[in-house]
Amino acid sequence: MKQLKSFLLAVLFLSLSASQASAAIENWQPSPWTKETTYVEKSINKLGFGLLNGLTGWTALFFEPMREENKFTGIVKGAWRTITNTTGGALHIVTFFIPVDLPLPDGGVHFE
Amino acid sequence: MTSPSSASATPWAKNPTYASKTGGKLAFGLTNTLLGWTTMFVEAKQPEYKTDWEGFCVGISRSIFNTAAGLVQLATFPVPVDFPDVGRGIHIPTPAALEGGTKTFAKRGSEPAAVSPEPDVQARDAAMAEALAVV
Repeated sequence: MKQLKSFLLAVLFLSLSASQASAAIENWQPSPWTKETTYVEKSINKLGFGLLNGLTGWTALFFEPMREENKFTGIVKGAWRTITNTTGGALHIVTFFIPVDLPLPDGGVHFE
Repeated sequence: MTSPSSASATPWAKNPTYASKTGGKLAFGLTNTLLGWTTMFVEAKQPEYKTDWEGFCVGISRSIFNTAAGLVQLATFPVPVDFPDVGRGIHIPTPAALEGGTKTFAKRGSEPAAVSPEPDVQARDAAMAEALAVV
């Protein structure tokens, strides 16, 4: 029982630290579909946003090294953004009918 | 969960009689079922998106919704009950709108603008009225 308590405390501490650290290093932004007013428009745009990020999330692997001055940082960031964008996109697709946002780093994929 | 704040009725819902409602619903269902897929290409060019890709991906989603909405309306066309929550469907400008000079697609969520006659048509009508007054 004591071991379980210490394990749960350690998990809680680690998850809090991880969320704080990710908030410090990443710019989590609300998704653009949250600006829509009706339920149908939110669902349509959330599904579209999910498709965009799910299908093109891998492009971060190439875009991030081009944006960053340090190529190594760019590759690491690109790999991280590929995971977050693709996973986030898949989650948006699966939950498109629930108008609850899952913020992505820099608002997800944007080709600019 | 957010509830729809302003559900948009489909165009045929304003028709007065049973025949015109079911006819309009059948036409809406057929149009959206057969042409719903075209939305992805139209959506890609909408100015509200930063890039064509963003519009295209939302367009894929909108195509699915429009086709599903068309199928629902097609399957239930004898029953003149609207399903407003599925949206307005695809935007195909009517010949009247094109004749009246509005050659662009109506903005989403807005009602089609009333078509005013061309200035030369007004001048011709005025001349005709004047000529008839002389006779």
